[in-house]
Amino acid sequence: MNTLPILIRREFWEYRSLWQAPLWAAGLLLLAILMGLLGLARVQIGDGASDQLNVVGGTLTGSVMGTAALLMLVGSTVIGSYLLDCLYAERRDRSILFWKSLPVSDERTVLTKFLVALVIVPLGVYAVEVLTHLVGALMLLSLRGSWSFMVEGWTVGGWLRAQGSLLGSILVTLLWYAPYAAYLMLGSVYARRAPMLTVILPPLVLGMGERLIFGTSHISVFLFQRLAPVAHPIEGLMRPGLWLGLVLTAAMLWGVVRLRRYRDDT
Amino acid sequence: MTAIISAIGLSKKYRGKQALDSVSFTVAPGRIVGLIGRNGAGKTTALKAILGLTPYAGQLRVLGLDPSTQRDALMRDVAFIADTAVLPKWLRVRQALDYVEGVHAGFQRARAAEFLRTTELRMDSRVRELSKGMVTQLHLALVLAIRARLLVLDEPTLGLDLLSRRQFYDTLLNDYMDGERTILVTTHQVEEIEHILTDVLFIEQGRIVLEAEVETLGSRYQQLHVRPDALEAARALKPFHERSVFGRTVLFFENQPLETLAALGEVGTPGIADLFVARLQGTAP
Repeated sequence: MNTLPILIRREFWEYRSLWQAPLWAAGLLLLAILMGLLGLARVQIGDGASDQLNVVGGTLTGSVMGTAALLMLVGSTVIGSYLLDCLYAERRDRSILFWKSLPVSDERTVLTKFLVALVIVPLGVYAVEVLTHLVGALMLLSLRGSWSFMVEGWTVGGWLRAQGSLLGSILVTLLWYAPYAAYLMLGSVYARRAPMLTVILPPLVLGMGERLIFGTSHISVFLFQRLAPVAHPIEGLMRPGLWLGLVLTAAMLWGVVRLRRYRDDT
Repeated sequence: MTAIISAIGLSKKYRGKQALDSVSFTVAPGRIVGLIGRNGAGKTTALKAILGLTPYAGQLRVLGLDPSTQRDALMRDVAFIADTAVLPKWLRVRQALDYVEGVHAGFQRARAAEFLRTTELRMDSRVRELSKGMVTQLHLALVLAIRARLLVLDEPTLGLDLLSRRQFYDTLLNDYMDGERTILVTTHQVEEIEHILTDVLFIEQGRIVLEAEVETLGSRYQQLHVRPDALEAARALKPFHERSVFGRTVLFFENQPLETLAALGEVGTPGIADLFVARLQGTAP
C-alpha cells in the first residue's frame, strides 16, 4: 500500500505554518502592492518622478527575484524550524509511542520529513511565488495608463525565462542545502532538550576552538560562505562541494534513522 | 499451538541497572496475560523489547518474528496502547482515522466510526480539547478496528477516573477478545484487572517471580484465616507470607493439603492482588 500521501499530509496537519506562512506572506505582498497602487495612483506622477520610481522599484521582470526572495525567506524560516522540531516534538509529547505502534518504518518516517522539507514545501513556495507574481503583474497591467514605466519591456517570454531560471537556481540550491537540512534533522532526533542549542553548539565550538588553537577562522568562514544560495544552476552542479554535500547528507540521514530507532526518553 | 510471545533469557541493562535479568516466559494465543510488578520492576522494559522499541540481549520471538530486526512486519499484527498521553494534542479525530487508514492495511474504518458514534467524540474534535477518558476512547476505537493478533497495553488506564477505567476494560472484553486474539497488559493496580486475566506474570527486580494460569492458582495457593489458638501449629506448616487483618492473622501457603489447613481455620483462595503482595514481601517477620 502506498503510504506516502498520508505521511506527507500528516506533516502538514502538525506543522500548519508550512503552508500557512507562505500563503500569508504572499497575501500581504499582494495587499502591499494593491495599497501602493491605490495610494500612488492618487498622486499625479510626472515623468521625472517615474524615472526615480523605476530605479527604486525595478522593472516587472526584475521584480520576480524580489517577490521570490521574500517568499523564500519566509519559506526557509518555516522549513528550518520544522526540521529542528520534527523528530524532537514527537518525543517531547510522547506521541512517538503512537507513531511507532503503526507499521511505518523509521526510514519511511525520516525520508518523508526530509522530502517535505527539501522538495514539497520549497516547490510549493515556488508555485505560490509564480502565482503571486502573476496576480501582481495583472494588477499592475490593469493600471497600464499611468504605470507604463513598470511594464516597459515586459514580455511573456522574458517573464517565463526569469521564472525558469529562478526554478533552476532553486532546484540546485536545494541540493546545495541538503546537508544543512540533514544536519538539522540530526539535531532534532538527537536532542534530549533544546534542539536549537544542539545544532548551534558543535559548529560554534569548532569555530572557537580553531580560533583559540590556530588563530584562524577557516571553519566559520567556510560554513557561512557555504550558506549562500546557488545563482547559476549549471555552475552549481559543477561544484564538487555539492556532490560531497550529498554524500554527507546520505550519511547523516542514515544516522537519523538509526537514532530514531531506539531514541527513547518516554 | 505456537506461542504468541516466547522469551528465553531476555536481558536488558538500563543505565547500569539490570532492568531485565535473563527472563523467560511464553504467552499462548487467546490469553489475557497480566504482567504485574511494582514501578521500576521491569514491566515497561519487557514490553518495549517485545515491541522492538529497545535493544535487548537473549532470544525473543513475537508472532514468530524477531522484534529487533522485523519490527515493521511485526507492527502489522500488533497493536499497542501506552497510557493516555501518547496521541498528539494537535490531532483531530478525523485525522486519526485518516492516518491509521492510510498506513495500516488491516484498519476497518467503518468499525472505528461505529464505535465512536457511541461516544461523545466528534470528528473535528482535537485531542487537546478532549478529556483523558475520551482520548482513551479514541485510541481504543483505532485499536479495536485494526484487529491485531496481539494487543499490548502499558498502564492503559493511568490517570483515568473509575468510570472510564471500567468502560475501557469492558469494551476490551466485549469488542476485542474473540478467543484468538491475545492481550498482554501491565499494571500496578492489580485489583482492577484481576477478574479479566487468564494468566499472570509477576515481575520483580527484572525477574519473573511467578508465571501461572489464573485457574490453577486456586489449587496451588491457599489462604488461611487462622484461629488464634492454632496460630503456632499453622506457622509450623511454613507459610510463605503472613499478615494481620483486623486482629486476625492470614497466612498464605503453597501446595498445602486443604484438609490440614481446614482444621486450623477458614481456608480460601487468595486473590491475585494478595498473592502479588505476598510474593513480593515474602515471609513476614
